Amino acid sequence: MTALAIELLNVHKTYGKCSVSVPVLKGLTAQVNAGERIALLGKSGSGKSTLLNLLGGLDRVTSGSISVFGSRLDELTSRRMAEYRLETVGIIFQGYNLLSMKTARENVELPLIFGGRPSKARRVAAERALDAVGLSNRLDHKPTELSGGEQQRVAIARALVNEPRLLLADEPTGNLDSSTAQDVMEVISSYAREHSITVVLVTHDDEIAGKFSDRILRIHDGRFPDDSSEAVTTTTDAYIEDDHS
Amino acid sequence: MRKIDLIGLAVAALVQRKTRTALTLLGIVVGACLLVTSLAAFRGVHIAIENQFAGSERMQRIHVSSNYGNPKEAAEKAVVEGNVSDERRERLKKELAQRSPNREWIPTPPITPELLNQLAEIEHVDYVWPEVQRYWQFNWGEHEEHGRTMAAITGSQGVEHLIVAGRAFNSDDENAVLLHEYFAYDWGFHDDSQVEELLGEKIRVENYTRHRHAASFFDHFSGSEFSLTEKVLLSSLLMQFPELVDQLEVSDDSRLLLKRAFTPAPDEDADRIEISEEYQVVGIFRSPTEDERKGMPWEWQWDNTALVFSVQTAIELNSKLSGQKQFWIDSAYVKADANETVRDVVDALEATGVKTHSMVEFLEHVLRNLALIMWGMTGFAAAALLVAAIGITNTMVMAVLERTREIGIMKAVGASENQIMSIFLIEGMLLGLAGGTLGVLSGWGISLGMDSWVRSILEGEFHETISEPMFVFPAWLALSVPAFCSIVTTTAAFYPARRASRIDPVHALRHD
Repeated sequence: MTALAIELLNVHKTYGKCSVSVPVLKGLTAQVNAGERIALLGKSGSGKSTLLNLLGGLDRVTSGSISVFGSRLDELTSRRMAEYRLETVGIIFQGYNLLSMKTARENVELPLIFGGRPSKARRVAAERALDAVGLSNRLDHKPTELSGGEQQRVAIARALVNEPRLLLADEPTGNLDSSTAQDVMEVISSYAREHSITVVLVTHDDEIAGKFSDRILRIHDGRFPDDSSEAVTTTTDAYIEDDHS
Repeated sequence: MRKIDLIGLAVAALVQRKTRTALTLLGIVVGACLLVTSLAAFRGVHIAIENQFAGSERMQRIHVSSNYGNPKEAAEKAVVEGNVSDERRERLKKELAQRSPNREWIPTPPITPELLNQLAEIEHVDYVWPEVQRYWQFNWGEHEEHGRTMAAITGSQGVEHLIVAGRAFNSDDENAVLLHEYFAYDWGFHDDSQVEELLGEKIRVENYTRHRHAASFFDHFSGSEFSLTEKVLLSSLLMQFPELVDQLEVSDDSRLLLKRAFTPAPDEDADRIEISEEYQVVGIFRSPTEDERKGMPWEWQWDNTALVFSVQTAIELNSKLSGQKQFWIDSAYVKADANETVRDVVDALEATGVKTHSMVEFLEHVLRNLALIMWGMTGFAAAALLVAAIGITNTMVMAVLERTREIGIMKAVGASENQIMSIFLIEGMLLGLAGGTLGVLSGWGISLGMDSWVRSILEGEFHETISEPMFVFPAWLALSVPAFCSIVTTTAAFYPARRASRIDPVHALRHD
């Protein structure tokens, strides 16, 4: 039996105050096994990124619970949540979110700094991560000196440098052309396979979802519809259980 | 997270915004510079003044005098007649107490030889040197002079060091006199070897007599100089003139006028005694030098002193003038045996009822004023620092807004609230530390230029050459000012730091 990586139980997320509240997630229940690569598909405003933010420990549920590798995120203190973001999860954003004044290496070193890693070890780890994404020749370049694809690779290296068990990618190819997008997804996919890490990929590109995930989860208006789970390959033992089952 | 990395992130953030950091620093530098300069000046001037007096006997001398009446008591006793308002009555009472011809000028307590003995018995008193000075007429042979006479105590603390020929007094009651070297020269003893010839000579000391007043008429009238014998002769002739008027062939009116003009007025001072005493010259003295004068009571009065008596002789001579009236001494100097005992001696002296003035009180007054100036300047410096601190808060709040996305990224990759807060607090602290250090260096640089200016002011004030630096930067000052600045700026950074730490990463990552 494969270990459970993610467990969503009746997850609700509502923004705003009582009078003007906007429910975004409306009772999501799902499970993801360790090492599984999930593609989260849905239209804009369906709640994909909100769910990703909750999984990434950047936001908290309004009700329900999220467990990641056995840790209840809704019960973590602010400090523990920071540790969770630092040690367990790596996040890749559509807009790269790199620090413009820092070099590629310094950007990748950032999580290691907050992890208390000594400078020499940081440097080695950052260079290794950048090498893994094919940017060993761009260590001292600032984001403005890099192409979109290269910037996203730096962001991938930063997300992976702490060797997370869960990788969250929020439309990582959204700002890239199709060729570069393929390259970037190859990098993510091969690293995930190699290190057996769990991946949740948010996209609205069916082709990428089909090619680079084990299963696709469709989200519609903050809910997983009855037929939301769609196995992409037969080799995975992952399963999905929606909130109606 | 390692502290060095926190500092590194803070430094990097400051370096990235060079202009803003420089302008923020400028405010702190100005405040710190003002603060350190005022404290260093206070310290330097304080030390210089203390040293100036520490090595001086003036510090140990206490001037003692009597109290003359109590204006408050006198005002209370004064009686105002007529129908006057209360307010005007109070005013008039004060005026009456001040202007009344019956105002009491009796000293309380009178400084008598007995009181001097009592003061000399006080613990830690080195000597009591009474002020018994008066202008006297004195003559040697045909040489008639007029000059100040002083009293001097015996021993090395008296006038021994001023003796150029002969000796000083052997005792406080030696019936002798010291003569200023000027008179020896003026009387024809020009050569050094001749000065000693005056030793053993007798000098006659006299007060002004009616004869002398009359004789001085001829001096002024004729413009001639008359010898003492001639003056006595002329004055006796002048005294006979009213009787001779009757023999003149003039009108009755003129005769009456002349008689009125040349008849001596009745002596206003019935008790006045005409004095004429002889004293043997035992020593010739010179005026003290600038430095010597500082070590002596009544510093400047020695310059035109003609004769010096022993204390008892001076008291006896001057007391004769008062006749039947009580004689008292104007004032005295009491010397304490050390700077540390001055305050005790002052207290003991005041317990006898006398009024005291000492350099200790003056010094305390000067230092108190200095402290007031220093606190004033420190207040300005504190205000400048406060303004700089408010500037830092404002700048950092703006920086937090600008860096919202950066903060969101840091949080997304694992930074905790405490770590974010620490980065901003360290930025504030570094601004204070750098600004404070630059302020100390600037203050030190400014002090180099201002040292001679402040010194000239102080030297003008004390009429002394001052060798000490006017600005003193002890290690504690050089260290505590940057430390203080960093406390101020860290406190100023607290609000923006807290705000930064609470930024919602989801909102921040959407921020552009």
